[in-house]
Amino acid sequence: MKRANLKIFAVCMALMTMLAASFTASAQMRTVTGKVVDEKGQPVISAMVLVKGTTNGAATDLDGNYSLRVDGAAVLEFSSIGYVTEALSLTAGQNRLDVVLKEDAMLLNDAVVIGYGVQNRRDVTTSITSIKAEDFANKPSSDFREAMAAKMPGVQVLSLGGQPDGNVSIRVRGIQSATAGNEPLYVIDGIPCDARAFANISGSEIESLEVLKDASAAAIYGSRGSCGVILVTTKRGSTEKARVSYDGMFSMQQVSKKIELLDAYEFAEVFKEARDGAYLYNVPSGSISDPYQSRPQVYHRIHPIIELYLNDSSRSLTNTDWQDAIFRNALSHQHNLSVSGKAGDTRYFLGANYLNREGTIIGSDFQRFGFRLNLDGKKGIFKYGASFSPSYSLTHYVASDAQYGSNGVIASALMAPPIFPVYNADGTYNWDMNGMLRVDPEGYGDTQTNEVLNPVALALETKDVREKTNLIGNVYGAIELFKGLEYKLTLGGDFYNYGREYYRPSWLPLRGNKYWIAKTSEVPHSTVALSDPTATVASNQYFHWNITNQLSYNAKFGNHSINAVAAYEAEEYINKTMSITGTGVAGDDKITTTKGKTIAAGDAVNNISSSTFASWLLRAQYSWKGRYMASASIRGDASSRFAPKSRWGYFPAASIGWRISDEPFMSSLSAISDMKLRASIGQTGNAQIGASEYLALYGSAQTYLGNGTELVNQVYPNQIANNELHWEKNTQVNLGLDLTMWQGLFILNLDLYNSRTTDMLFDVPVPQVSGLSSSNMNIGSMQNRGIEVNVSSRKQFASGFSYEITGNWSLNRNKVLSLGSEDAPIIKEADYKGAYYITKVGQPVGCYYLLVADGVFHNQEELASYPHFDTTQIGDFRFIDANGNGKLEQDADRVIVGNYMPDFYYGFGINLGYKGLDFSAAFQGVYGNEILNLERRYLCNMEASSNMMKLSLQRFPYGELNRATRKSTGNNGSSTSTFHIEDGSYLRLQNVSLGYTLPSVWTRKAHIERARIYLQGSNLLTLTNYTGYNPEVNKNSSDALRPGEDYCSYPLPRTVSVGINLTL
Amino acid sequence: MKKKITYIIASAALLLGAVSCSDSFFERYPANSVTEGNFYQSEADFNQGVYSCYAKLKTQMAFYLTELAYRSDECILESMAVSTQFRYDLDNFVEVESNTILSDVWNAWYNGIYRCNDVLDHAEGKSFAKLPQYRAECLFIRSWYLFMLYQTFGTVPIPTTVLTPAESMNLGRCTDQEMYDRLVTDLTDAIANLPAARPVEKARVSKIAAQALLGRVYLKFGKYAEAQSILGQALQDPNYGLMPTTAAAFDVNNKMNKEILFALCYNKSIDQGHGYWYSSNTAVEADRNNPTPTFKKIYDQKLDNRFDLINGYVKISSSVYAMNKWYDTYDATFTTVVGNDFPMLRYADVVLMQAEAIGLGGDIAGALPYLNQTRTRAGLPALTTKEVSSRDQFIRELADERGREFALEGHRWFDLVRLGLAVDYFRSLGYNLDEHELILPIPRAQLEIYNNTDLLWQNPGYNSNYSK
Repeated sequence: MKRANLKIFAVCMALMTMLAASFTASAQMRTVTGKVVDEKGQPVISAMVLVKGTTNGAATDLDGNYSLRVDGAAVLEFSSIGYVTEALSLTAGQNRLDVVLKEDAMLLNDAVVIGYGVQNRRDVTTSITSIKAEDFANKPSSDFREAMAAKMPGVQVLSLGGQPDGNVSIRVRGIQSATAGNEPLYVIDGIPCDARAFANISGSEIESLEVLKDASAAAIYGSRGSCGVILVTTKRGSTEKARVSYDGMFSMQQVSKKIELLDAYEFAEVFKEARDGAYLYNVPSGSISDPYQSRPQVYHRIHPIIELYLNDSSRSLTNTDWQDAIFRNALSHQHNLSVSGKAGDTRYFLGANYLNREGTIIGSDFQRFGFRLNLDGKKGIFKYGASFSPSYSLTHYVASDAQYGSNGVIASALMAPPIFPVYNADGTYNWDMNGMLRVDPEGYGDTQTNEVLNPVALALETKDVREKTNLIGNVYGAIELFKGLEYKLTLGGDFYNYGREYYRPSWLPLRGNKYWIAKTSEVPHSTVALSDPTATVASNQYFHWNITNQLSYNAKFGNHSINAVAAYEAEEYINKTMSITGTGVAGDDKITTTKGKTIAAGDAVNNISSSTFASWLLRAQYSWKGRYMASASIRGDASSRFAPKSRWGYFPAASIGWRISDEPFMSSLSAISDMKLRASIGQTGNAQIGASEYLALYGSAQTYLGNGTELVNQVYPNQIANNELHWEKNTQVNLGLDLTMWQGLFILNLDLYNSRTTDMLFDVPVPQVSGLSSSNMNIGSMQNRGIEVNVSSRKQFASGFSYEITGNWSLNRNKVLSLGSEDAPIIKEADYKGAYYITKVGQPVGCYYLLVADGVFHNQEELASYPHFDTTQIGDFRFIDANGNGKLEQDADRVIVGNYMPDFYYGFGINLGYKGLDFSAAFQGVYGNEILNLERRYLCNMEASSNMMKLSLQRFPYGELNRATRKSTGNNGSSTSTFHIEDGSYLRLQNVSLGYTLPSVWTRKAHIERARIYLQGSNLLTLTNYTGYNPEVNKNSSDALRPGEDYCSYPLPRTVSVGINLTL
Repeated sequence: MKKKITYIIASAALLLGAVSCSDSFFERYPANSVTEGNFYQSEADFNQGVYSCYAKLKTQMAFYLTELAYRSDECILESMAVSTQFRYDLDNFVEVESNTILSDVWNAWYNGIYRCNDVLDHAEGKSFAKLPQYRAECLFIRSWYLFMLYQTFGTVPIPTTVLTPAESMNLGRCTDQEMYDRLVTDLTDAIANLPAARPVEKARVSKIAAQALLGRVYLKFGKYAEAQSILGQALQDPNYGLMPTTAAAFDVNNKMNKEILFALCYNKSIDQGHGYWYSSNTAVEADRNNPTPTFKKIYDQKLDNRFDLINGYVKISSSVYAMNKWYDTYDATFTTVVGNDFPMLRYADVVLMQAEAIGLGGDIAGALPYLNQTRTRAGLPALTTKEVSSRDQFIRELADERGREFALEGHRWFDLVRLGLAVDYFRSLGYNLDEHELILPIPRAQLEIYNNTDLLWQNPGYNSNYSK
């Protein structure tokens, strides 16, 4: 890969040399010289100096000096990116002209991308937040989405896991839909894309990123806008002189947290206690000193390896930390190189990037190559351009999030007893955790433990390679029909190809004690019970095209400014999937593909699906002197996902704004630099459902009807036609205030919103009388109300010191308003079927619905005086008889015990600069969310059938958790309760960085315009009471009815990086 | 200004008009699914739909074969584990409304009804030669499901067309009369259109199966005269009859013999078989508790040649002993190693139902010849009015005979309930069985979905938030 990277570098260097045009003047006349400096007196390098009206110009050198041959009097134009262009006149005899260029603070902040056009920030009347290029440039991360975290109020960026290829979920203003998707719409350079294409962008190529939060802003995307719209604009060429940028970063990562587990000696104690506990439960007359061999049940007995130690504590046990065995210090590096500029009427941006990231779990890593070419040209009344961005990535994947039964690496590491080593003395993998405790050689028989496979072997010996190729591009042509009226045609496409190769070799045994027995029948500890090897090959091909016809009109008549857009578009999504799984013969690992393997019916599948959209839209925006603003829009959408009769949906929006600070009566209040009130209302839709939910569909299978050996094909209905299915609608009202005081010393943005989702598309349980158990229906409604506050303060001091402090705070309250005619609550199971969620009117969507644990029963008296399960004993959890009927009932005593939605979330940060030094720190936090920590189901069930958390040391009688017993008897592991609910509040130091921009006097010697080196740390510190790896975890993030589950996830890494930004 | 705006509007209109999308642009159908638009176009399509109705019957095999046997006195669950909690509850009459065995059959039966209704709905207005037969088969299968639902849960909603989810929310429980009327109407219709002879696809029903089922419906509702009439017609059918012995009816080398009226068909040679039913893993008789010693007591263990069917085993391997009744040779070609059919209706059933119809209609003397047909076939002496003089005696003899004849065929529990013996009998065995438990609780999930006890309520006697 290093070689490939060098190649990219070489190609880009060559291109840069080609494109870097040098401007030299060659007239005789007199020579004019001068120096161009910025407001701080620093030379402005490579500023363009042009004799106005000619092509005669020069660029400043490293000291900001220029020299230019000029004839007579002229006007000189001084320009440089980031500065306000100055035009100064030169008298006929003048030989020297020095200039101070003002930094153009408004330049980048001014234009806001709003979808089908841009708008001046001053005139925006809806709720839009944005992030600009610098935010990504100065805090590079291997996944730019992390740099979005905590920056924008109302936008929650959640790091669900620490996978090297990223596992981030973005939610705008909470949960807007209960069962249709909640993923915002991503639009990259005007092309609607999904989260996958968005994640694939390199942060260094982003010029700006806008989030359309309120329905009025998002309504321009109609049926796909109800969960917010994220608009990405990539960088395009702008400077006359070619600019070459290189960003490079090297990082070291380690897991930010380990779960505290029992060591071998603690494990041995709990193991014995659990066996004794189960024995005394079944045989109350027994004693813990009774010999194990004579106890009636296998789960009363203790394995000799543990018994030996317990009888003679001078013996030592193997003491493996399985987390240490699978986690590592991971290295990563990334490089971004770009060349941009302007050549004649053509502007260009050419970028290449490479990322190589090791996972903190052994065996996992990620590499990505990306390229980008953006071209824009102009000829007369015509404008044209193209964007093209191919990328390729390769992931070595480990099963981090799977359960131990499905070969989950983390689950296996957490559960593997510490008394076994990773490797045997001869260097081969140890497999004793796969059944030795269960099946011992001395004939005690099956002692019922949970077998796991060696997690190190699982991570290293399973091959799981995932390759993704992505091509996103568009071309456009525009013509100015007359001044202000432009017609533009855009054709875009997004092609994506995914391939997976999986191979599980036969030297990885299957899980279960019988494989351990099979092994011991061979030479113990040296060979492995061979499994039938499994090979899978899968692919997914996706193509999306769209075509947009757009008419835009911009005009200014005196104090009136008008902006209007009309557009018509059509698009199609085509998805093809294929998967083949084959099983080979034990011991045969010669071929690692499906060739020659047995492919069972149903293990070779493929599918093709497609859906289409057609839309039109109209929008008009009006502004009077920038003081009174109004805008209105409407979009009509039709989709193949809905039945003909409900195919079209219409999504109107309107907004108004009032710049109070421009009113004459405000002019006396000099403290207020800018003040604007906004109000908007709009309606959006949600079409994130399957491609053919409205159709009556049939499945087919073979069956036998008693005719010799003839199989017949049966066709059965499996989806009922639903011609009523229509768009889920979201209506939102937004009120906003933007206030800037004392020229930026205090900036406040405040938004209040109230949104109501109606005709919610629910995959609801329906009466089985219909033949099916669930169906998509438009029932119910839901409300989200919230407040978003953004406060900042910034100032630049003459001494060269500058600061910026920012803070944002968001609150969202979700409430289900109705659920169909009967308002029947929807109860769903978590991944573990004994844990429940309820969605019910008056409550937020997806609440935990469990028994409430209230300490343990300490004595017989307590046991006798309080309702409990038949099997409950002293030392077991006491659950609250919630309905107060004097009986404890597993179902009837469940209550709502919290949910994953935070009370509020917030971010704050500080940026400091002094001369070349810059420092920044950013924090993010969430308060008041609860997490369903199902990890505790195994790791703290006091059964000791696998390793457990240190928390288990607080079991009865040592603490207030339930007693140790091998057999869950209704009160611990088998009853999910508030014991499994934890507070997920946290405050995280998301990013801290210290950078130094080298003085130009040094760098100019190397012809470098700007060089910055930096040291950066990400996720260095998290303050939380949560005992799992990551309080942002959300196992089923796409299922709004079951949020907040932690059931094994890739821990987040803590990262320390060094990097360099170079601009030539 | 005005002119310009007009121009903009005009060009926008032109643009929108120029790129209009035809309907075909929106017609996107899934490649891997048959859709309503391309199905039910030929006779063969309807046939495939009918196949699916039959196929669904097989999915509740375990309920007929196993769960009902635990519910009755045929089997007992000795040790309860977490995974068998609900079976234990049914066995010991401590049912809860969250019992997943009950929700599974509820769901499967209603899915089966949906399949039948889908064929019936689409058959409206179509005319293919075989369509009357297909309709009749669907009516028979739908009646089968409805009657199973009725026997298990009491009155239930009766969907007679495909319902949208919204429509199904408004369909409440029927009355006994509505259930009776529906079953009689549909089965009468089916009888008129089913073929008399057994079809080539032997799992398909012929006329006699519908007659037999209608006979049972009449018995359940106490309509003895009607039952006697329809069963009399069934007994006239020359295509069917009793085999020389019960064992012969179960001979795997002569499957679908003249005694089998309706069965779930299996074939191990094409991977359409199953595992051994009621096999034992021990040769030691004392270690076998299923079928229970209590149940075995209803046999005359010396005379009755049917006793060996459930008490005798054939050694297959050191850990598999196949029960004679469900014996087949072991075939390792596929994972489904044996291929016995599961009879749903037998000719012997028609004979004993006729005995029931005549006897409970008041003519015990007239009933005994029918009762004696299976007795004498099994080697038992014929009963006379001397031994069986009262109605109670007749009912007990009939129940025992049905128990012996149809052991482990899923009849016993419903027989004991229908004949009014269940409560006293199970109490005499030491169980705490209450009258309300003769029908089982409606699955809780369904009650929660309806959330309307005017339409769907829990059966009386069960602990529920949804009692009427």
